[in-house]
Amino acid sequence: MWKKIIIVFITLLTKQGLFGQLDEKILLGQEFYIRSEVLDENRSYIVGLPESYGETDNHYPVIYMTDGDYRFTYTSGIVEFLSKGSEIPESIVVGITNTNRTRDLTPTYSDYDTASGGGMKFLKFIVEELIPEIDNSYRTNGFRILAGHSYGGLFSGYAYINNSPFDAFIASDPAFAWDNQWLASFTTPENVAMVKNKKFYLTNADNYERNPDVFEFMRPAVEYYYALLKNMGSNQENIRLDYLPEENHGTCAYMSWYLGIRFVYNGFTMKNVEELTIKDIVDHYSQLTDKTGKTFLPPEQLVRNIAQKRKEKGVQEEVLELMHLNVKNYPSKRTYKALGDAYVDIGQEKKASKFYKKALEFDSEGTGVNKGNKLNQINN
Amino acid sequence: MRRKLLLPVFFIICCFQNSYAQDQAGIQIGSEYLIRSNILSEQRQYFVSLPASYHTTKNRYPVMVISDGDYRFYQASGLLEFLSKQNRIPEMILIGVANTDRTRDLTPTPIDNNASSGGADSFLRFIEDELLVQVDKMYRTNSYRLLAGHSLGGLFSVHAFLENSDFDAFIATDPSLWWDNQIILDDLKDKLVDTGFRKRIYLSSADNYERNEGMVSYMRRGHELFYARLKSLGFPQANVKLGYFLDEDHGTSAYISLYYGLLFVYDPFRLDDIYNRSSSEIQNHYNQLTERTSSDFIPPENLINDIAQFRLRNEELETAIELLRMNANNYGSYESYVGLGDALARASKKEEAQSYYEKALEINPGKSSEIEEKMNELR
Repeated sequence: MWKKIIIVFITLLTKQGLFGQLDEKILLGQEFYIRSEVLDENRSYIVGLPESYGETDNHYPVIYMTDGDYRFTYTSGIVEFLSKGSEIPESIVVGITNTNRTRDLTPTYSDYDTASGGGMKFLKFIVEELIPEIDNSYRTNGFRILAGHSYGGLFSGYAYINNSPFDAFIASDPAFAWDNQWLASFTTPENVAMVKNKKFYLTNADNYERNPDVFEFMRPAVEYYYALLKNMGSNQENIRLDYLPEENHGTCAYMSWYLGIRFVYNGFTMKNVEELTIKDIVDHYSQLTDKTGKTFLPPEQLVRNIAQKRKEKGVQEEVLELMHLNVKNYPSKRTYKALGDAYVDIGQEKKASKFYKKALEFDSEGTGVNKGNKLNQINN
Repeated sequence: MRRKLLLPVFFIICCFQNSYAQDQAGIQIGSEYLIRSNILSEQRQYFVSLPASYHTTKNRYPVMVISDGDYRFYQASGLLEFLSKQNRIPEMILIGVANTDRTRDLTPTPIDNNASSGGADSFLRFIEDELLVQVDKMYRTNSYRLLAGHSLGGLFSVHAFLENSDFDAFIATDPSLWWDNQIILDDLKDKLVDTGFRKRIYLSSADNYERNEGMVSYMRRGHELFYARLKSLGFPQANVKLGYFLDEDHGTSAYISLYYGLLFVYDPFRLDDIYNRSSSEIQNHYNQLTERTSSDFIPPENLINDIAQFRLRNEELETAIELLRMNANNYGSYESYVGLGDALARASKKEEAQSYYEKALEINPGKSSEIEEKMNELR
């Protein structure tokens, strides 16, 4: 298996050289190639790493998406926003780009479209080739989400009911009407029982305008499938269908991602932080770790915010404890410096300097918005 | 039977539309620059993201400036890319201004316990007289300007709205209108000049109870007072909206309310039932948008192409040709000429079809074999 970094730079206007004193490109991620034996072709995928990736040795969950070339940018924006607010953990984003979209995303052959029917192979490629490649190349914690829209949503549904090695699935306005609702006929109570603990988020859009003939049966197919899952004993807490009446088939993909990712990580963050003890925080994330079997640590930023509140209240001891927690979970220049600062605040300069020295042992620090540059440093 | 045919066609079209607007640079979202500000006596950092079509057209684009740019640039660029690809807003050039002294720059008046606060006037002058002057030199901008900000950045958006700035529209998500005893709400009548009534402003209000019990009513009251006072001054209903986001707190509301704010300031950007409209109805709609915003808005090329293909599938040849003609006139791109040529060929208007194929070839001589094949089919 080989991998090659291609760096996609647009040659920006020469004008910029005239005006800008600084011309740093802001990159979200990079494209890689993988040879697939299963599909007998070369495939590409795009990877975006979280901001803290290069600063710590931590392991991260991964969000995979089909139609990756089209959906990578906005997904990165959503993930970056939600993780900055500690609503979700920092995550690696992987966009799987298309070669033959219809072939790959449809689980069965149907006369509707003669290119169809390669979904099973495509899932095999993802499970047996792509996921191992990602897990070998990056520090992943094993928690995986698969998101897809339209045919991609159909594929997410297929991967879900097959109990494929993802923990959560997002199907945005999915084409469940495919092949006389094949997915529904394929689904049995035994399948449903197997995926009971996995999350599945679905949306329906208002599709009338573009093509009433198609959409009069598109939405009912999704509603039918949702009801079927419930009838077969799905865990109500783990599946959800939202109707997005202000969105059409194309536009709903964005909100589906946003709401779906939030649904998957519902309960991840902690509210009412002023009332929480440090033990509450540690317990919350170790319970999540136990429940999912994947390691989730208290988010660095959340702990920092809580420490800030404690500092305002003058509870310095807890500030120290929280900063120690961050150092333990995320040993980095930033966390050691913050710990040093906390000791300065209580007048223990000697201890502070010990941690400042520790901080200096790390050579990289967050570069703010331009995480692309950092990506280069990591990979090159 | 008809259903059976339509389903695959539809999904192929969706897919086609997707890749149509796509750019190899999906991975790069922008560039970072420095500018020396004489007004602020300091060096400032800013980020620029260009729309997907920037390098393949000669179009001019509206500019959106977002405060807290270092924090909000990613999310805003992803949002703009998605919404413009879906033709719900125009493609825009995004400028994110990074902070140096956030409170100083975003607050209109000084308050006692914050010594550096109160620099919003200077910061606004910096944006208008230095930053945007630079941006206008570097890029093909049109005159439409949008300012967005969150929290104190939202306060700054409202400040710029009331200071009769060059901006045409404002988004203030969960803005801190409580600042300095709600001083921003004073004397609205005197601040709001006639031109202000033609501008659009979107505000959002989150559920802030959890984060800060005392603050929630204070925050919300500022939003509602401002909204009510604007309306009592006769501010047009169509130009102001206050959105409530009860599932979001102060932090999380920033994203989703930016989404709805963008839709509001351009509403109606997209014509209802556009797939069944004539080319003149569509052109009129965009002319009205141009008039309303004093900026050039052109029917989006990929949307018009998508509609024309829809018409072609329904065998409405003449209507499709009109639409494609509109694209060829507005854009003069290789794709628009080929699209028009193909439709004309299908209508057996061979001579005219040939003339557009020739035009296409002039633009992109590298495609000579494709064009030749099409010409041969004509004969």
